Amino acid sequence: MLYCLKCKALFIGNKSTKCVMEYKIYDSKDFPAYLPKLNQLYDDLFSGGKGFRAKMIRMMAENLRLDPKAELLLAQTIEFIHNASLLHDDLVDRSHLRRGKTTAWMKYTPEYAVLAGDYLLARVMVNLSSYGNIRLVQYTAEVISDLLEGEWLQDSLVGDMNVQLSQLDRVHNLKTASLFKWCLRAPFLAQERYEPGLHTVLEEMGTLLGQLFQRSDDLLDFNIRNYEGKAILGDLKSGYLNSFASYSTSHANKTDLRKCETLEDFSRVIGGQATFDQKLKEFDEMNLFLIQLYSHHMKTLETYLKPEEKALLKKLEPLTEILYWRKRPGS
Amino acid sequence: MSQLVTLFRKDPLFPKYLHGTFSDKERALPVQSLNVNTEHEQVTFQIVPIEKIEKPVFLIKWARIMKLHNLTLLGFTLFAILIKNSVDGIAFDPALALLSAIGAFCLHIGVNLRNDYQDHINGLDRIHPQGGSQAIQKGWITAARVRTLSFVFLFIGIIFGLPSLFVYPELFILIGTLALLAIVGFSQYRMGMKYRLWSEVTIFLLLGPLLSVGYQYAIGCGFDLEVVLLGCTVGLLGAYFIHLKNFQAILVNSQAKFHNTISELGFEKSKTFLIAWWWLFFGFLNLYHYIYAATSWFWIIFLGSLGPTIYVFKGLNQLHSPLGSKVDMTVDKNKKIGIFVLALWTLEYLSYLIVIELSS
Repeated sequence: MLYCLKCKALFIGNKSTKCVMEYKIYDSKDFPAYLPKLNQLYDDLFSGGKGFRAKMIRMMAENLRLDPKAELLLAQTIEFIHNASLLHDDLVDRSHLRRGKTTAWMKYTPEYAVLAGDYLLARVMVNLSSYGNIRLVQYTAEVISDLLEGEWLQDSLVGDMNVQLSQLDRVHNLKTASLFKWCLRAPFLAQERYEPGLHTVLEEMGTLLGQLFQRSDDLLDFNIRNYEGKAILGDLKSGYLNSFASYSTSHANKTDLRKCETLEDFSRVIGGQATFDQKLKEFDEMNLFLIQLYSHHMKTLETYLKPEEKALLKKLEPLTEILYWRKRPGS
Repeated sequence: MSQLVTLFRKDPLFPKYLHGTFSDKERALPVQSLNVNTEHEQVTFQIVPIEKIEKPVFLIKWARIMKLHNLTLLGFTLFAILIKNSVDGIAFDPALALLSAIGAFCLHIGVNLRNDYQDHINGLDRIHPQGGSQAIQKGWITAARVRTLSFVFLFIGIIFGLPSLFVYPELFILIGTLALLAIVGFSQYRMGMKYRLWSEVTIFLLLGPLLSVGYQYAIGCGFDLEVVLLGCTVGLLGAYFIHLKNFQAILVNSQAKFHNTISELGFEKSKTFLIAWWWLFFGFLNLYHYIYAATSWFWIIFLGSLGPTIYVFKGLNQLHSPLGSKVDMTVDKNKKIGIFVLALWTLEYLSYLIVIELSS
């Protein structure tokens, strides 16, 4: 794994691997020149972001010896879907900032943000269908529909201070994990490898990666392993109980919870700093079990890989470290 | 570090892990499942030594395994029929009443256990991890033992029911109908009754008129319209509880492509359906009391159930999403309202019992 000084992001691969920013995922020529505002919006949107999902595609493609055209198509597809979901997500959440910049719906209009997101999803279908693999098209359409279902459901949880972790997992499985699952399964589908057992294990692994990523992201809100210095308590202040908050506040006073302004307030509401530390320890232990499950599934995955593809396992193994523990390569 | 084992349904070891017969010293707890109830089903088990499994105290554990809380409606029906006959001065055989009641309870427990076992084998308890007794999922007991126990209870139930059958052979007609419904409900379909369209009719009949009329015959009191109406009312409440459970799980059931009346209607129409069903129960409850109860009790029951009815209506109408704590809380409150009405009704019968005792 390497760290790109140019885009300040982690990426998976060896020294010969290019950073995702060198992928030509977004090219303004791909979009109609007679729609300057759309192009301008995409310029803003695609200039930034870690491109973690595209990197996952690259990692899979390299080890599965995927045709470079298919690799680029898959990388574009996942980034288009992901960015479309961000456009819609920011509007639904009424977020003002994305990647340190003003969000599209604020800078342009909500209508433009919706249309730009829709257009990206439409491009995904146009590009993928021209590749001619109907199972890949169908699977991608299912993922997009899962994303939207997740968005709908998540919106209904805003303001719900008694939401259960299992209910949040259900939303995260639709919203977050579906893209990780796609990154793992799509390269195999592109190679017309449809073994049900293989896709079952990849589905499980993708679900776990998505869950770990989301839970780690939720911990950032409480300044845990917040190496990138993201704003804290953003979810709670906007009335959304994330996974760690849901786990740690089952016995807390919900009225007091709504009034939390600082981390100290939050610790006090759940019973003090010692309780906070204990809850964090339990939360990490619970997720350690998910990491163990992920490693366990790697053994099953190995049985489906050709000898020349086994190196993929070594690349997949540290993903949990990166996604949950937010460990930098080599640390 | 836990020991994990992943098996596919087609794997010869799969049934042994699922039934818990793979080892005498360890339990296999399902922690992750995919493609449930299909030939591609894959389950990951966590292998835990038996001594490390956390269990509640003995009585609570067995009450949970046998789902004793599910026997409330059955217990109420039998109790109500005995009191009603006492109040009306209709003589019944106490020995047969006791034997039949034990038989009915055992049959119900046997069905509960069979249901849990079947849900575990089909994977439904992995889709609904909060449902059922959770005894098998938590490793308190193996699925194989639950299956054996279900047979034992069903057998005892039949044995205890036999004396009434010998004394009143006309019961064979009712027993035959019950058996037919049970076969349709539990054997013909791979899924349990909760996962089928129109299952509420079967549940209504089993918990309602068939049970009440059957018990009335079993204790030697013959046909009585009041007992039919009583059974219908309790049956409607039983089916309402099942609808509430399905409503709570509408998202999970729809994603898993399980079809029942609630998942077919969808979230919004289901709310109207639940309100209509409760009104139907309310109507039967008050019709019964209007015809058969003391006037004072009619008014107590009418007013006592009218308030909750408005609450049911309001609570369900305020729901806007199948996910979140509001659905859980509303369903929980609605169940408590049902139990409250039943408790009020029980008080009514107890008051009649006191009056009989005092007058004698």
